[in-house]
Amino acid sequence: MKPFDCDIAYGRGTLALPREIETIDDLVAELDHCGIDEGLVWHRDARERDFNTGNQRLVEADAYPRLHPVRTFVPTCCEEMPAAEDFIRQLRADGVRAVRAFPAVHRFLLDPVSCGDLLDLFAAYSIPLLVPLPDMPGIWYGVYDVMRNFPRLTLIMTETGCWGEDRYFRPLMKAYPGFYITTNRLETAGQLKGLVDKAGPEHVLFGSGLPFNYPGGYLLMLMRADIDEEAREAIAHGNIERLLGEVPW
Amino acid sequence: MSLRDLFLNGGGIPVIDSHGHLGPFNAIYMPEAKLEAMIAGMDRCGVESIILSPHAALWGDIREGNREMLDAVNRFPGRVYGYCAVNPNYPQDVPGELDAYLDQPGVVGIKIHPSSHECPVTDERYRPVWERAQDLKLMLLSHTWGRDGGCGSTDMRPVAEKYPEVRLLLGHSCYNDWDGAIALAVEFPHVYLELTAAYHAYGLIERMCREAGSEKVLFGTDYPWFDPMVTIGCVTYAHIEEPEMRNILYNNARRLLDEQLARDAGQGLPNPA
Repeated sequence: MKPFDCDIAYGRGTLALPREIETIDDLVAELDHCGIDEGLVWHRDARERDFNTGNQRLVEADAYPRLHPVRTFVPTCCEEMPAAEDFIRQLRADGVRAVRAFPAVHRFLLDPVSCGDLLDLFAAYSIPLLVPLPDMPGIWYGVYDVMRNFPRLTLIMTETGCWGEDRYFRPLMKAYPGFYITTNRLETAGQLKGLVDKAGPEHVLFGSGLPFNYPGGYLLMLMRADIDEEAREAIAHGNIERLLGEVPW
Repeated sequence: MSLRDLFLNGGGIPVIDSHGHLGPFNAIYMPEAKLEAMIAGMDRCGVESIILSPHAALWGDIREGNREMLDAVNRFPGRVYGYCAVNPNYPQDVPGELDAYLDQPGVVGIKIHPSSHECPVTDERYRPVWERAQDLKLMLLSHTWGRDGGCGSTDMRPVAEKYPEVRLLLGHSCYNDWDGAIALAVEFPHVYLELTAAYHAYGLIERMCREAGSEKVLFGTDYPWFDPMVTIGCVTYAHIEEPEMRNILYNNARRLLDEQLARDAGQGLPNPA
C-alpha cells in the first residue's frame, strides 16, 4: 500500500492552526510520519493571499518527486491569467497535471461564461480540477451546475462534509464518470463501505486535508474499512494514479 | 509494535466511546444507526463500551428516546451505557425523566443539548438538572460549541464553577474555541475535553495533552455518526506518547465509568463487562 494523498497543503495561514505545517520540509516530515507516499500539494497562499503567490511558492515542490504541485487559477477575463491555451501550455511545460480553484473566496463562478475557456480545455486534456466544497458557490447546487455544463470534466470535490452527504453526491457519481470525492470528511460510520458496495470504489480518492485534518484518521478509516483489497488500493492510490496518467504529459 | 501499527494491522486495544447516539437522524445518511449494526461496528473497531443517548432522546418526544436508551442498555449490558436526556423546553417532564432513569443499572449520566433545545446552559430551566447531577456526582455530557451562544466556553464557565461535583464532559470541546475549552479543563479538575468532531483538527490532540493533560481528554465519536476508526487514527497518529493515547482511548472513560458504577453499587469497583 502506497497511499497517495490528493489534498495536502502547507504554508502559514491567516489563522493559527493547533499545529502548523509551515514549510515544505514540515510537510514531507508529516507525510513520512503517516506513511504517505505521494501527494497533490498546494500552498495556502494560493487561497488566502493571492493565487499567483501561492503558485510561485509551490515551485519548491519540484525538488520532491513525491509531491505533485497543483496550480490554482482564476478566470482569464481580468488579465491576471494568461489566455486559456497559454495556461495549458504552462502546465505542460511545468509538468503540472492538476489544477485547483477557490471560486467563492476568489469571487468568481465556475460556469461557461466565466471559465468556459479553461474548463473546456481541462476536460479536453483530462486535467483534474480540485475544488473544496465550502469554496463552491451554491455548494452542491454549484457542483451539479458544473457537471451539467462540463459533463466530460474530471472534478474532484474535497471537504465534502462530515454529515453523510450521500444523497447529494451519489447521483453525481451515477451520472458523471468524471465526478470524484476525497476521503476528507467522508467519515460517517459505514459510509465508505456503503459507497464502495453500491457505487464502486472508482469515484473515491484518498485525501486528508492536511494541515487542517489529521491524515491518520482517514488513513486508518480506509485501512480498516470492510471493503476488499482491490477497492482499498484503488482509493488509496490507484484511482488518482489513473487520473494523472490520463493527462497527456 | 506501536499502538498505531497495532490498529493498522487489524488489532488494537479496547476503546470506550463517551459520546454516542442511536437510531436514524433526519439530516444524514447513516448506515450503522440501528443498535445491532452499532454493536457490529463497535466489534469491528474494538470499542468495548459506548455511553449513548438516542437521537430520539434529543429531538422530538424525548421520552421515547430515553426508553430506547434503557432498552439498549439492558440488551447489551457492559457494552452500552446510557445518558438520560432532558429537554428543558418541557420542564414539567424533567424531574420524572431523571427519577425514572438515573436509578437504572447502566444509566451513568445525563445528556443535554443546549443548542438544539435553544436553551442556554445557564437558563433556570436547567437548574434541576445541574442540581441532580451535583447531588449524585454524575457525568453530564453537554453539547458545547464555540465561545458563546448558549453552550460555548463562556457559557460553560459559570456552571463549571457552580457545580464542582459534576463530571462535566464538554462535548465537541467547544468546537473551534479550543482556547476556551482547554482553559476550562485546565482550571477545573472535574471538566473534561471530549473529542467528537474536534478530533479531526490537526494538532489539537497534542495541544490538549500538552496543556490540559491526557487524563482530561475523552474519546468520543457521536457514533453512529462518525466512524470510530477515524478518531482512533487521529489519536494514534498524533505526536503524543502511547500512554497518553491509552488514556484517551480507554483509561479516562474507564475511570469515570467505574466511579459511577461503584457509586451505583454502593461499594467497591465492579467488573465492567
